[in-house]
Parts: sequence; structure tokens; C-alpha cells
Amino acid sequence: MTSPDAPTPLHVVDNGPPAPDWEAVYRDHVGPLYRFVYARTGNHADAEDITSTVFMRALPRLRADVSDAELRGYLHATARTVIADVWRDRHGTVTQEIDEESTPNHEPVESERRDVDTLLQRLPGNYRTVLELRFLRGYSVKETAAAMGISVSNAKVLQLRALRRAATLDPAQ
Amino acid sequence: MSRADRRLQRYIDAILRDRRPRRGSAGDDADAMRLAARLHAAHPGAADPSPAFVDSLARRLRQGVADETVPMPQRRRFLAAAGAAAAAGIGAGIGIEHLRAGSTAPSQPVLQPAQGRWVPVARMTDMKMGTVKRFSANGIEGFVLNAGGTVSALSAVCTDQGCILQTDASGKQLNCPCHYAQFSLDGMPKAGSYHPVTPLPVIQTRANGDVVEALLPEVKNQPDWTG
Repeated sequence: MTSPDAPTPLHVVDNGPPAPDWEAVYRDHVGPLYRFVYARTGNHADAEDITSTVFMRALPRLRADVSDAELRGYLHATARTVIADVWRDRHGTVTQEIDEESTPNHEPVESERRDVDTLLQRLPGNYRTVLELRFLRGYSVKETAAAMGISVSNAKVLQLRALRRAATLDPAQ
Repeated sequence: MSRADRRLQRYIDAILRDRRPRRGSAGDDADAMRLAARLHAAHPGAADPSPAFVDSLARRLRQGVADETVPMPQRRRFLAAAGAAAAAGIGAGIGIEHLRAGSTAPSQPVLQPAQGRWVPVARMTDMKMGTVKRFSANGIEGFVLNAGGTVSALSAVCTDQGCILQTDASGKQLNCPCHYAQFSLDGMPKAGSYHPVTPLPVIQTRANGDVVEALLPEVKNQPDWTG
């Protein structure tokens, strides 16, 4: 007998692995996969189509008893293929297979933001500023020009130069 | 501007407006285009799926499970769909695009209670430059703030789904804990907030001696704010 004041240890009850519930699995994975796709398409219409395609293909696996990591790997590999198809079809480019080995974790937003910040830090000041204002803060070209005290046409040219320069530094490319 | 410049410019304009980029060779700018998409997606919350999309895809998957014969979207079909250009958004995509397109410049409403009363919500001496204070009075959740030397007040209820906004760490914007909508201290939605949200209603304020008062609805049996 324990005295009433003694803390009663709480035991985790182990009922064995829960029955696979594909919809819960879907809901666990849809956010991270969507963000992965969105970061490679930049618009929600494409991200929704591609995410849908990937999950439709993956449905049999959602229902099978595969490990989380295995499923994540499958989803991301399928997404890469579909994204590459879209790019090839639309822009005639062949996507280099990037970081094929890495399976993104479930906190891609924070690490992605960190990577982007690191990349921007490596740019000259005005290049960094123009990209921050345009892309991270969503300023229009006009607002960007006003904030930087340069002309609109200069801001237009500067954002293109900055983007091209940054693309040469981007380790993920 | 060269042709390549105009092409990259068009691509940037498309993604910053959340449109599908037009078809066309990427030339030497494929990496710059990919980076533009990545930068655009780096906003906290900007890259999240809409709850409507998550639910609609769940329904389609459920349908697939029910049918037992899962229609495998063939690559051809997907490409045909994507190739039908920006024209037809598929499924949930289209509704969202329209919603966003239709909500470009909504005007900012002002809270006008049918039966109003000036209610004290803060002390003037507490409202130093940059201060943002939450108040809760007469059924209204609000912020009273001093942005740039002027004391004003805003509704603290996110215009998306009614969650209560929070000041972010910098104290320079208001964030929604539910779907990451962001508002600047003038109540306007920040560019890059994913959910299409309308501006926060302004609450009228006045200084009465050292007391900041806000025009709030008359509520019976509401104890006065006493500081």
C-alpha cells in the first residue's frame, strides 16, 4: 500500500500497435508533403494538384502496414517525380535530382526558413534586401523601390540579378 | 530588359500572385525560377494546405477506398490537366484562386455599435510608442496600440475563423494561431498570409484625460474597467 500522499506512478498502457487507419496516416503526412511540394512550385493550384496525384498513387500504401519513414520516403519520391514531370512539360527543364537521400523531417518549415536565411546572408546587402522585401515580405515592385529608395525600373532589374546570383549559391540546387 | 529578363519577371509575378506560371522554356533561368518558388514558400504558414483542400482530398481518397478500385492517375492524365494551362484549376484549387483574386483590396470596416458607449481600455501613460495591449470589454476582444505615435484600437478577432490574434515576438504584427494569418498594426492582412482574410475592424478611440476610451457596444451589468 502506498500512502495517500505518495505520488502514484502513471504507467503507459501498451496495447500493441494501433490498427492502421489510413485517414489518420493521410492527415499526418498531408501537411509536410504539401509544404514540400509548395516550396517547389510556388503556387497553391499546382501544389494541390500534385499533392492529390501523389496521395492517389500512394493510397494502397496508406492502407498497408508500412512504417512512417517508409511511407514518407515513398511520398516524397513520388512527389519529386511528378514535380519533375510538370517542370519538364511546362518549362522544358530537367530537374536535377536533389538531396535524393534525405527524407524531409516533420519540421520542414523551420529548417527551410533557416536555409533560406542562410542563403540570403551570403548575398550582397542590396541583393538580400530586394529578395527579402519582394519574396519574404510580399512587397510589390513599387513598394520595394520606395523602401529601398531606388527607381521602379532599378528595383525590377535588381530583383532579377539578385535571384540569379542567389541561385548560383543555393546549395539545394 | 532582355527576353530572358521578361520571362523570369513573368514567372516571379505569377508565383507572387499565387498563379500557375505560364508555359514556356526556362532557358538558363530554371534554377532562379526554382529559387523564386522556394523563397516565396518560406513564409511561416504560407506553404500550408488549406483545410478545405485537406478535407476534399480526404473525401476523394475515401471514395477510392470505397470503390476498392483506386483510379491511378496516369502521368499522361496529369500532364494533360496541367497542360490545359492556368485555364482550369482542378478540384479545390479553383475555388481558392477565385477567393483570393476576389479579395485583393477590401476596405477596412469600423466597429459601429448600434448602442455604443465610451469604455476605458487603457491608460494613456502606459501607451508608450510601440505598445500593443490586449483588452477584453463589453463583449469585444481588441488591441489598443500605439503604432507611430498614434493610439488606436483594432478588433483582436481573426477575420478568417474567429480565433483570437496574438502579437508576435517583435510586437510589430498580429498573428493568428489557427491558420497563420498575419496582420500589420494598422489591421491590414500582410502579404503572404495564405488564407484570404479581410482587414481587422477598427475600434474608435479617444483620450479622456489619462484614460484611453474605446467606443464599444452597451452591455448591461458589465463592470467597468478599473485598471
